[in-house]
Amino acid sequence: MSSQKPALPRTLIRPPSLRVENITKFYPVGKSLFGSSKSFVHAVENVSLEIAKGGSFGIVGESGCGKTTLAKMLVKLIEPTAGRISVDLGDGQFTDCTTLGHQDTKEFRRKVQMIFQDPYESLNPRITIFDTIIEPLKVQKIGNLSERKVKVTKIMAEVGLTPVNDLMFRYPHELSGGQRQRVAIARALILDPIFLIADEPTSMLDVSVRTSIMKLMLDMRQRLNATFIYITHDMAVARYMCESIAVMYLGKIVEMGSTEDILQNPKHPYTKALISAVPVPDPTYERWPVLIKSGVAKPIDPLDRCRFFDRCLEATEHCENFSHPILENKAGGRAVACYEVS
Amino acid sequence: MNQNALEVENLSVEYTTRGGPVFAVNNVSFELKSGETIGIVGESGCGKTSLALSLMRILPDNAQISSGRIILDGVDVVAISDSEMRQYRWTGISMIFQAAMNSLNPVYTVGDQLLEAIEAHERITREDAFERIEALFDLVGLDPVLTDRYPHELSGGMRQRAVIAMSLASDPSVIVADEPTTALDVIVQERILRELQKIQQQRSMSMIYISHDLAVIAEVSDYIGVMYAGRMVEYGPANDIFANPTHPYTKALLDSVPSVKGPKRELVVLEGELPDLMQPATGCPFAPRCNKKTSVCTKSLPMRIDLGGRWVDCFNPLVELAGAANE
Ligand SMILES: Nc1ncnc2c1ncn2[C@@H]1O[C@H](COP(=O)(O)OP(=O)(O)OP(=O)(O)O)[C@@H](O)[C@H]1O
Ligand SMILES: Nc1ncnc2c1ncn2[C@@H]1O[C@H](COP(=O)(O)OP(=O)(O)OP(=O)(O)O)[C@@H](O)[C@H]1O
Ligand code: SF4
Ligand SMILES: [Mg+2]
Ligand SMILES: [Mg+2]
Repeated sequence: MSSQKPALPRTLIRPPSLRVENITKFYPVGKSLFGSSKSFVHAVENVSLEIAKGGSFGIVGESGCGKTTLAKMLVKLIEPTAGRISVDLGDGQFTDCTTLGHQDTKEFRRKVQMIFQDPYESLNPRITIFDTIIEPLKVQKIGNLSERKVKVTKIMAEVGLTPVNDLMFRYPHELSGGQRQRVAIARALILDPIFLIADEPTSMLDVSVRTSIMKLMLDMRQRLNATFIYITHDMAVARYMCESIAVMYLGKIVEMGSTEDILQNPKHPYTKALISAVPVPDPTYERWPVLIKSGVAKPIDPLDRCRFFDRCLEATEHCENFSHPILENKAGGRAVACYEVS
Repeated sequence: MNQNALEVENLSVEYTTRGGPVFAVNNVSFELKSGETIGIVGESGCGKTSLALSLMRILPDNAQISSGRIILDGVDVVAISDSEMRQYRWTGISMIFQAAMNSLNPVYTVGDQLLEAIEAHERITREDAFERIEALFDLVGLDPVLTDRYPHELSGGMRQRAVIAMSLASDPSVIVADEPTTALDVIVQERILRELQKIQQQRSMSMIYISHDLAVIAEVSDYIGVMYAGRMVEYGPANDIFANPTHPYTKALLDSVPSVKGPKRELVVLEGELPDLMQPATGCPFAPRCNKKTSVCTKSLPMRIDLGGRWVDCFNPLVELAGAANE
């Protein structure tokens, strides 16, 4: 890990509601007989960021670069190997997530919601859709039964789980992939979270249903002055949903800034490659060649140099011989981790 | 060369639920030539996965094929026995499941699962099998060291890629890919699509590619079938469908794609109630949401209009456009 403390790039000028400092997650691989491990997957390494209150922040990046791992640490589902996360749950106070007491943890579970990447993983196959969506209200003791029923019916209609009266009594396996995904969305939104982390929440939806869910979330964010984080591979979703984004590669944030700026003028070589590869809905369009060297990402015990070195078209000798570049502000208020960007 | 690898005739699939039957696939017909790809698009819940599962004959217990034929390699697989079907499954027709991440067995390493998939269908030495696995991993952009990992140790997209590798392991002649690349970034996606196209050319593998990603559909498809409420409502060559959609639903679908490049457009939603597959409409299923609707549309199902190489089920198709395209 670099000893130099990276700058904390702010995503916007509003006060922050989430502060992540040098967070790291290593997974041991190939455990020896004595339980100690020689090798580690560097899933997330030394990531720092601040997200503005009421802001919408996107995380994009290569498959396997650590997005879900980062998200799970933010919602306290997995323990970081190192680093600190603190949140403002609405009272203007920053609390260290790792030291929450019992009452605060309960509060945290209500106000911080996550929509999981895999809707199958997050839905209990043995309970109906109605029971699935109402459950968080029961756990948090919100409203009486009839109030809860009204809420469930309303949110189901809002996410397009219609006809409500029919789908309500089905089990998860009796729904289509996109319907299941909407159940996971409804379940997370029903608690009016002020902090929502959505991991590929709309990847199985057609463009129209996806758009109406994006609109629903945008409205909700404004109404609750909530902070939303989206993880997505869909640049169009990032463009419409996120004011600012972070681009990750192999456990590191390599670029961060306003979404529109990054889409129009990517600076990090990986971001350039990513944006050059976005396909367009026109059969006569040719999207290759992508601006990247072929190869596969290797996250186990990476060498102490730029994580993108092996696949970068702009790499120099300097990149080969120095540590991974720190994420720092470059021209135009953009944070980039690259020696070749000024 | 230009033989049909697959013919689907008047296929209907129903689910039995506590609330009554769900008519998930209604009278769907299309054909697929060997080496070609048909892209299937349509609203979430319109019956795409149900169609795919019936081609593989792996529908859940509460489902049945209520009518129709599926001709694979000259054989109607709807009519044959389960044991006969087993001969075709995976080698004749193979599938990449939607939310593929869930179709892996959590207690075996991904390498062991691949090995099993290969050994189940052919006699092959261990060395050859390992070589094949390594090549398949390379094809989907996974580091071969990952063969020793359990599914939960992989990211969502890595699991999806392991499943793609598995479905290709037994050299199928038809592959049904149900949202195969939705959990992948566009660089990995591009690589996999390119490899799939290479395999298609080498072995004239045919592909049924289901996706909500219209850009990917545009890229991989020779033909496109548009589904709405369990029915295929428009079918034709990909270029023609994208350039001149004739069904009002197809037009609405294409118009609602948000843009990544160029100016940021207003987001469009297709207004109106989503269709109810338990209460099939007497008229056109799209009528309640259609801006071309006339009084005839709610009275009976639209007739199929043959537009020469493509067709549409609509009383008021956007034919001026189609006419212009045919000139
Ligand atoms: N429980 C685990 N044990 C070991 N390695 C893990 C575990 N969970 C994740 N990893 C590894 O950590 C890295 C990051 O995984 P993560 O799921 O965070 O990626 P991601 O960015 O969400 O990818 P995707 O876009 O494919 O979902 C990957 O190399 C993955 O194999
Ligand atoms: N096992 C089941 N029992 C009852 N109904 C089902 C079952 N599986 C699917 N359905 C219903 O059948 C319809 C078609 O589902 P299908 O999964 O084929 O849709 P899809 O087009 O693949 O949608 P998506 O794009 O969301 O994956 C849906 O309305 C769904 O609710
Ligand atoms: S048949 Fe009528 S309602 Fe249906 S799509 Fe055509 S114009 Fe619209
Ligand atoms: Mg993930
Ligand atoms: Mg489906």
